Amino acid sequence: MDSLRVSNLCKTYIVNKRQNNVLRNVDLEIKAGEMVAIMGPSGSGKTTLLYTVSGMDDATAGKVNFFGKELTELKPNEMSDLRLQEMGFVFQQMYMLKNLSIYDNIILPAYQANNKCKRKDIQERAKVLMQKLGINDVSDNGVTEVSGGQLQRACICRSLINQPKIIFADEPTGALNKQNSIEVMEELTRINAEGTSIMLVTHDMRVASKCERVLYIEDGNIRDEMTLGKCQLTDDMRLRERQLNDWLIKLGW
Amino acid sequence: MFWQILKRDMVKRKGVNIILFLFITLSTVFLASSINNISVVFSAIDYYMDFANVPEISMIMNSDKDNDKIQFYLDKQKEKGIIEDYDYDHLIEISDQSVIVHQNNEEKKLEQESTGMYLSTMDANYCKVFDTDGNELTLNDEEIALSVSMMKNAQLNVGDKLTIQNGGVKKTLTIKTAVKDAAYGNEMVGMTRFMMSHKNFLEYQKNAQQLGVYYISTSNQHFLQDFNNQGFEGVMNTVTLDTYQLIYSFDMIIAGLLILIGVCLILIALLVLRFTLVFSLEEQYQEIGILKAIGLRDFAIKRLYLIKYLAIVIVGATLGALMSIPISQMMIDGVSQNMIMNNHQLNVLLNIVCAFIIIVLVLIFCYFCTRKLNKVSAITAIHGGYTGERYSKNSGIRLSRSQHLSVPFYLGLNDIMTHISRYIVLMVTFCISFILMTIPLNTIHTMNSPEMSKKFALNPESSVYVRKIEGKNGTYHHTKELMNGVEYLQKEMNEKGYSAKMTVLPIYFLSYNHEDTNQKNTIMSLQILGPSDSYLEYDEGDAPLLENEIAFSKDIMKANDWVIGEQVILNLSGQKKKMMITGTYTDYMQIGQSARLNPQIDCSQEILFDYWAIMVDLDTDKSQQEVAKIMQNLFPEYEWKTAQELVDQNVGGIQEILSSLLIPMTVMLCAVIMLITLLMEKLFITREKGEIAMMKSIGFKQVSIRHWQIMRMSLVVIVSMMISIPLSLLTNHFMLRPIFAIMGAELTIQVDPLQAYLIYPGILLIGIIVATAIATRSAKNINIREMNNLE
Repeated sequence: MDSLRVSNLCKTYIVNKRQNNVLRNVDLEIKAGEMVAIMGPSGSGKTTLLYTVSGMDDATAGKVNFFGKELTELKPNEMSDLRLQEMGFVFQQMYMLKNLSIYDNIILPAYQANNKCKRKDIQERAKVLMQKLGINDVSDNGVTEVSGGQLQRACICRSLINQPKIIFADEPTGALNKQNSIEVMEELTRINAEGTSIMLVTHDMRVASKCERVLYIEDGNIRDEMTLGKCQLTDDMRLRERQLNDWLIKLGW
Repeated sequence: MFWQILKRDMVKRKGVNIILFLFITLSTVFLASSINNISVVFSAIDYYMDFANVPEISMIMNSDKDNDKIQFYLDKQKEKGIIEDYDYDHLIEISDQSVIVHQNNEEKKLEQESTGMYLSTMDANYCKVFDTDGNELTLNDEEIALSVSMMKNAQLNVGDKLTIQNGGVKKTLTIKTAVKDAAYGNEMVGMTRFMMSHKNFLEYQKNAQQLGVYYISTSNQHFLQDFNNQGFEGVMNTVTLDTYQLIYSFDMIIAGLLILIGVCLILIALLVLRFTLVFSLEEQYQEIGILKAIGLRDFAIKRLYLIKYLAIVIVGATLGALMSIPISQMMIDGVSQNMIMNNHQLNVLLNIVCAFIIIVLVLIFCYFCTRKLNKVSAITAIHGGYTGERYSKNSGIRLSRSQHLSVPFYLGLNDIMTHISRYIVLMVTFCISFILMTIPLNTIHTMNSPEMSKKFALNPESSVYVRKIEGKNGTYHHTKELMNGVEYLQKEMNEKGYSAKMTVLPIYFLSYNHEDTNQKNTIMSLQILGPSDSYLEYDEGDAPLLENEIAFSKDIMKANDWVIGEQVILNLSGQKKKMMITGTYTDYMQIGQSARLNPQIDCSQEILFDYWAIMVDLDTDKSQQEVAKIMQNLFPEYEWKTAQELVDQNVGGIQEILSSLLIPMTVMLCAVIMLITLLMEKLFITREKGEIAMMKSIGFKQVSIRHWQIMRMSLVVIVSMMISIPLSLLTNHFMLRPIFAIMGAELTIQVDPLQAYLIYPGILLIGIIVATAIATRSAKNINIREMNNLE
């Protein structure tokens, strides 16, 4: 199966002996090469959905079929391997190991994956990625020695180093200024255009408008979805944003 | 917020607080009880010597030829007030072969390791003996009393019977009691005596060879030299009160060792305390910043932390002081078994003072650790300690440049390289543990070394050593008798198919003076007779070979201002012989004060004080231990020994004590460092929660995270091991060498690298890895959402 398919996904937290149903029977599908945004009000379950779908959090019920593999049936080590080799992650905060340089942080997952790939090849791949994302000048810098945008692009490089099938991005521009946000989204769009699926959570309409499809989640369930189509360079971005805005207003955003 | 921080710290750092509490309690126990013990032993030695009336000088005579002259001289000295008083007593020398033990309707040989055994009475006013309750000893006829240590070593009980055959007299006597014998009761004196009634003693005295003993009470520093200068014949050995005091002070060795452990524990506790305190401060920077911002003074904030540690240290030290009381009492009871003490009561005040000192020390240390707060402004603290200077140079290594390192290994190594100060506490702790471990190991190894054997005038190459060859024939008094005995033994061995070459070392006490002065010295002199005569080493010059050559130990040379090439006069059998000094050496014979005679000189007329272990050379590939075992089976009437056994016997069994302490010490050290590792690793994991969560999120398995943590700790251990190697060599030089030097000679401390730097540290390394593995199990519970803790 060439897609990420989620069916009847539930996630429940027990806080102070009170049950909190964060996800309620969520069904969704992300096809290979698709770029999907998850939007919704605060506390609607967007991040929980991303974490549960990516196997970072266990589902209470339901199924997650990741390109033919049933995530809920995987053992912790198998899940780790899958995350390492077939998934990429980009977070709102640019989490990296402080003791390592930008370059080392990027190659770290590939070295860890140890998939018979020569270290020289990994380094070459990292250099190509850094070149593409425009951070090769800061590769030897420490994590605290680069700007937020550069750091987020480094995180994207790291997420791509093992050539994943999908990138999960949680508010990838949330901690960035406008210019940096635009640059990061351009990179994500380009990566998607090269064939990598992307599932991202965002509050930002500009970010969501770059996606092929937008899912609106509310009270732990997908209330509606809108298909914007693949974002092309020639597209009128203002139009896409307006269409999305109208749709969101209709949903009570 | 005040109480919130305090409460949170007490609960959150439960493990750390418990470990700190344990360390403070244990170190108080060790320090208080051992300091108490040393103080008690120190005062008890003087009291015991005084109580038993041990004189300043005990002079052992092998002949009464000059008795009249000596007594005339001593009377004159007494008149002049140079000596206060003196007394003369007799000792009858017996061999252990002449004693048969009757115990539980069985007969057995007397098991004892002492150099000489003597029969004695309670007639003299000096060197009195007492029963175990400290009462003066009274014995009826046919009753006998032995020192506490002799009874213990030979496993004798009150009521057992001893048959003693000497000089044609054979009597069976009943052991009435064990006695506390200040002068002859300590194993390290090398002489032990059997007390008996005056009547029984006279019966044995008729045909026995006996020694005379002058007990001289004097405070005059020059008397001994003046006495020696008189050149009286028959003076064999002189034992001073200082020597007895030195011997008894060895009872403090175990207490000294406990003090060392206590100090190390305090040091480790302080290091752990500093680490946790700084960790707590850094973790609670924001709260501290708010406290500062609302106007609390630095001391008010510090007080928060100090109160917590004050509570821990007061409870820990008080508990430690309470626990140390019964332990101190046990140690005092142990000492009082061999000594008479003026006060058996424990000085509890000393334990309390020790605990108080520990409390003050820990609090002062805590106060210094909180100085960091002074330097941090309120806003910096609120920002989690960041001052804005985030552009520090990364001092780690590059993953991209390390082609063959595994990721966990790289991460561990990089952590240490970038935050070395974070691991210093662990490194110091591990170093202390490794060094502590090497002390007994190196001591044992040095004692087993060929150099140590040579310092006791033994040839380490010999196949085996034999002692007490005189059997039931009484003791040897001249070299000729000894040589006859050796010849007989050789014949016996030949008959059983062993062709043995034997080297004999007769010991005499001979009088020497420089050719230009009349200043005489009675010096223990050793002669090497036999084929194996070239194994002894000399610091300067050569071994004496010709009939007019002699060598002296460095201490003797220094005390008399003699140099190699000078001539001294040897008073031998009434004749004066000019001897040239050819060499000087250091060894442990007579606490480093001895002479080595050449093999040519005829000492056959001299009274033999004793003879050293006979070195037996056989044509065999077997080890000394194997040969000794074979020979003991073939010739059970003699004592067959290895070099190690002889060395250990001469150092009061320290080697055996240390060997028996090795396993408990390793276990204790292992437990201590495992505890610390557990504690530190838990703190590291708390600090690295965010990083671990992030690594998990990108697909690192739990096992990789554990490998990283274990690898890092192993690297810290390996670095510590490497640092501790030169440090342990320094410890050898500055601690062990001087201790060995007390016995009379300096020697090279021997190290078995396999044991000291591989096997035992390896055991500690395994302990550390196990502790780390246990601690890293908690990393499993770190949720990926805890990435938010990443700074």
